[in-house]
Amino acid sequence: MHGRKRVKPSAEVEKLRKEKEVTKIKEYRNLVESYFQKKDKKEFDNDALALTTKILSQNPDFYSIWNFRRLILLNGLLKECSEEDKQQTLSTELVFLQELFQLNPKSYWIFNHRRWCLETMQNPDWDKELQLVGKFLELDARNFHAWDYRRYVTSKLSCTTETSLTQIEFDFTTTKINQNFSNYSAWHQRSKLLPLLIKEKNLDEQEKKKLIDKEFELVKAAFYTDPDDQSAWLYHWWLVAQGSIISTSQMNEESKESSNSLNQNLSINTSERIELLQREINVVRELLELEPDSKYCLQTLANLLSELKSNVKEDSKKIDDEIVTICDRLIKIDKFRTKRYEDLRSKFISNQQG
Amino acid sequence: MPQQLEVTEYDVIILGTGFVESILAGALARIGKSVLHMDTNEYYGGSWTSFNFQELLDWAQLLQGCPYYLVTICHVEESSGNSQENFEGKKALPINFSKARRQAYSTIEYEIYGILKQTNSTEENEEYLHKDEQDTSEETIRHVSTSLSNFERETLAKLLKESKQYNLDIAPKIMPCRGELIELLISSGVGRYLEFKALDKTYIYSDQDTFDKVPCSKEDVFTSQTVTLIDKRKLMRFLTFALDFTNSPETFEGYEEKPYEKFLKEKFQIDGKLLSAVLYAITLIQTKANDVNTIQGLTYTQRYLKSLGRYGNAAFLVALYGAGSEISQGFCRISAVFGGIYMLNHSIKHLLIDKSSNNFTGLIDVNGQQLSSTYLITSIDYIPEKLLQENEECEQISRAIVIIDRYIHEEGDASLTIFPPDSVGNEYPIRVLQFSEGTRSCPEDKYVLYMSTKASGKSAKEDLYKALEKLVNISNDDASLSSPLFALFYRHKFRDATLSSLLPDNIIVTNDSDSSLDFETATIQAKQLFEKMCPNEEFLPAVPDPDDDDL
Amino acid sequence: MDTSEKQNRLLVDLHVKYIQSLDTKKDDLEYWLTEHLRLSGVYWGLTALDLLNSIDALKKEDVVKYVVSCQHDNGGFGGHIGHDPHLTYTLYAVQILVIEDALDAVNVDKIVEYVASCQDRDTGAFTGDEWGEIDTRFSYCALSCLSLLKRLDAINVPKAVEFIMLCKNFDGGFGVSPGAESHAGQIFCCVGALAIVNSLHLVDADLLGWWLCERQLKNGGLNGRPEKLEDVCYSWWVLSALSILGRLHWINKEKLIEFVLVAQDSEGGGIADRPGDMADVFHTLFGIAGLSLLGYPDLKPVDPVYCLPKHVVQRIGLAERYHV
Repeated sequence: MHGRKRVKPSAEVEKLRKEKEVTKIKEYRNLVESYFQKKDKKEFDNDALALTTKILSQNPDFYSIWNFRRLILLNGLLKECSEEDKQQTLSTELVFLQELFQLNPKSYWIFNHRRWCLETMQNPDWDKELQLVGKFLELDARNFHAWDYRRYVTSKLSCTTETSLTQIEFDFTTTKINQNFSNYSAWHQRSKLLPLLIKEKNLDEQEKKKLIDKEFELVKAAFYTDPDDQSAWLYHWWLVAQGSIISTSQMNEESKESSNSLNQNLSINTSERIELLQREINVVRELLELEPDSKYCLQTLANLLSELKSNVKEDSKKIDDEIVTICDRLIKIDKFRTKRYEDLRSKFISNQQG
Repeated sequence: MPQQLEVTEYDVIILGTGFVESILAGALARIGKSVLHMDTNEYYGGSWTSFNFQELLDWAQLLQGCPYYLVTICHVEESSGNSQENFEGKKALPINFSKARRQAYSTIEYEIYGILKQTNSTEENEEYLHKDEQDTSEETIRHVSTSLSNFERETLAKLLKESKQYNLDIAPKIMPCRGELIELLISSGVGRYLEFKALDKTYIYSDQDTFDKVPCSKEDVFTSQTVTLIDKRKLMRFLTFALDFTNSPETFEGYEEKPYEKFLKEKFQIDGKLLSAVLYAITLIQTKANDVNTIQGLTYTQRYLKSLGRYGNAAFLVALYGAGSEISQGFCRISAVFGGIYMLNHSIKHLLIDKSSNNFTGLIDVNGQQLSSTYLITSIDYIPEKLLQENEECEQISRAIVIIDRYIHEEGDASLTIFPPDSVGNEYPIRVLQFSEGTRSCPEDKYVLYMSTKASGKSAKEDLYKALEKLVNISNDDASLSSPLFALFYRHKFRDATLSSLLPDNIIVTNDSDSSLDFETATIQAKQLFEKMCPNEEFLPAVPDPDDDDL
Repeated sequence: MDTSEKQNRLLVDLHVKYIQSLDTKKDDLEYWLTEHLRLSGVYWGLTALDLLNSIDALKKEDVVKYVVSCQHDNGGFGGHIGHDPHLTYTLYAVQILVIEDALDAVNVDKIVEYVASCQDRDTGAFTGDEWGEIDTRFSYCALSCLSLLKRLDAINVPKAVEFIMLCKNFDGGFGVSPGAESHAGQIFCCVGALAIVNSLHLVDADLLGWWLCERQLKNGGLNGRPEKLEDVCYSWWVLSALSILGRLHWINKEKLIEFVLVAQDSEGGGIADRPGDMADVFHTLFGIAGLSLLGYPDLKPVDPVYCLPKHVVQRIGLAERYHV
């Protein structure tokens, strides 16, 4: 019961409502009763389909009804008929689902049934599905069902057309981010697509570097515009970690697996790595001058410094000191998470002593 | 047989159908006052009106004082020479409408440019000129074209042929999305008579002949390629503060009366190009930077920022088919619905003033009929000279209306371009609105530029020409720029008659349009005048809508 | 006592009464429309009652009888009598039976068989039922269920872990399937599942811990994804994951307790998703379980991995099998 306001109706209103509901309950229970009967008798006919339509229109989360509906289609309408008729029946099914979507854009079961229909079809129109999901994301750019469905549709599309949609989908996240760069879903999607893009395009070192630098520019523009936006910072953390991996021509399995981690210590290309870290440290320091109280900015600096420390031999005491200072500042700024900063701080204090 | 009115006594007589007069007509009729609304012009909008191309040309020529042919656009009804006569014991003061109007405008010049690109099609066009023999524009062509080259005649012929597709504002204005006028259009229901387009792009001219897109919203700042990282942060900090500045008075404490520019530099480290953009393209100040203090500046900036995001990513709306006359007509319609009586193309000869009380009592119209009312609301053009004190200090606005063949910067319905002071030798900011066919200002393949600035040099053309050169291929041969077809330059006085001490108490005078880009000061004036006349009445309450549709 | 005073403390008696009353609302259409959630409702209600030291408020005999009636011949359980079998309901059934110590009332082998049949041999993923929907929720359901039944041997555990790791994201979190965005509910499932099979070393605890503690908003409540609204149920999903990762102290406990308490319905009992909304049994459990993790007085401790009272998990000998 998400987001339904609590209202306390008067006794009279409540009585009236209950009187009205008596009929509705009776009707609904009759529908459910006939469902059980038809299911028991294995009646997979048009009447049964119409029955499930009625129930699902009222209650799309009643999952057993969806199961029964599929049984009806498989054992009834779709059985022993021409491919054309099959296509027609399933197309009608898609129209029905689209109507249900309007009332319920976040139902697992509706998306599920849609996938089933398309996969059961001889000629599913994946392009149309892509358009549909584009509309969903216009209405709610964070609807994760829709993002999931988009990934599903594009994977089907690239299978059937045998062309990669990676660049197109990458550009789609750019569009979404330009519309609102607080769209965490879009940054997430980008983190999935960027490594794919590099792999598919077979870029040489120079081109890879150019692409990654462009990503850095994008994400910096975001956190300079709004340093309170966590999406951009997280993406930056990840990018810093990626920067080292992608710049090495041989990606071993192990580094691929841990590619989501920032705090890894890659011995390869250390000088490039240090250069990157120092560049990013400068960018963050510059922002910190304007925004001395930005907690994400401070944390990023601490992260980058700790990463730098693991790559350079000298200055380790100086870096520890700075991280401890940053933690002290964070403890003052962000009262909700003081223990976290204390934990981080203690790591560098013990380092100092040891 | 002259038209005589059956009713000769009214609560209010209103002269002129300009913007402010029309709002008042609507507001007064709406609360049950009997309203007689007259205009000497045959069109609505007065000095806020819009013209088709032919009308604009006629208007310009009329103002230039060369009545080479019968002026159709404006009935010249010069009063008899008697400067003052007795009429039933009252002073009858003559009105000289066309003289007043002519005095409001100066340094009128227009230019027609040849279409160089189509030199070989001249013959064809000569032919088509002859085909249009019956066209009413024939006389215009013949007259104007005596001094024109063939190419220029060709351009003129084309413009006249499409004349009716132009709706050219002589005092072009836009509307902040959360401004007084938009709120009034929504609350009164007048908005439903109108259509709008969003103006969502602003450009600012900077050194090296470039035009930068001005970032306003968070998304603009983020995507802008011309704003450096540091400037993105500075700008966002400032915009976030300005949107809500009254909640952090400590930030501007001590700067209240100091120049806004100083505040921006010292408190937000905003400087250089960014400072220019904030002052002239976001705060939209129309004078020199030093003339605006911090409180004024913040108020304007906030108004702009609040306007963003209401209708997409736009801070302004543009009313289709020419804002001034369309909006004026919208309010007149409310007036008519509530019983207001309308007479256009109707001249007024005298105002009658009671000798002992020095109050306005009525007027005598072109038919000699005497009409009386408790109040007179009038545009300044109808005020007898005797009641005006010449104010030499009054502000003048240099304007240009330019028709071009291709968009400047980027395609779109409407955009705004700013030239900050001193960027093209200009003393004050120059603002250029570009409207396309989408705003119904011009035909499909044309664009209209409306330029304006506070007057500083010898003429309107002098004030604006250098800026125009940067936008269109007018004097050099830069083919990458769009080509001009027509340009009209003129100066317009902002006459503030409220300063005159000679006026009777029951004559309420509305101002000319000022140099601001929007209708805000005029809307506020209308509201204040109404509240002064009817202190306890509601200003334009909603009209029940029979069709029940929205703005 | 006015409303705000009432909401300074957990309204134990009122919540017990609320849960008891759930099966008496047959004149509400809503009761019938949520029939498919009946078995889940029993699990939510029963667990909440046990944490509130009031397990006897529901008659054990009735509860067990009802659960048994939801089992199908293939071993799986449906959301209600006659409703189709599904992995999620199968876990709820097992959880209820473990709480009531009544596993002998059902055919455990059949359950194991059903759960094992849901694993995709190639990918290690689990489907919710025969129709093939894949979701990391189902991985958790399967691992939790078999762990409670001590039958993890029935499936390919390394493969199951492999699939979960495919769902790991740039922020250290997990999504419903490979490629999907991190979501606190999914993170509970994946971290819980990994904890069950002693694979927490695969979690980037600092990074994920940071993401999780950033879910706390100014009003003390937690959201499930960045830039989303707070919701009482995340006081479970986020908190349990933080607890499993040993980082429960990274959020502000007092503020969260305050937030959960004001989401109580101080008249009808129960807890809502956020203050002022309608209470339901789902949010009632997760509000109470969250408070239990936060050490709220007089509540039985809850186990963050199994979402069962800790004493139940200890009784069957599973406690503390997981360590960071």
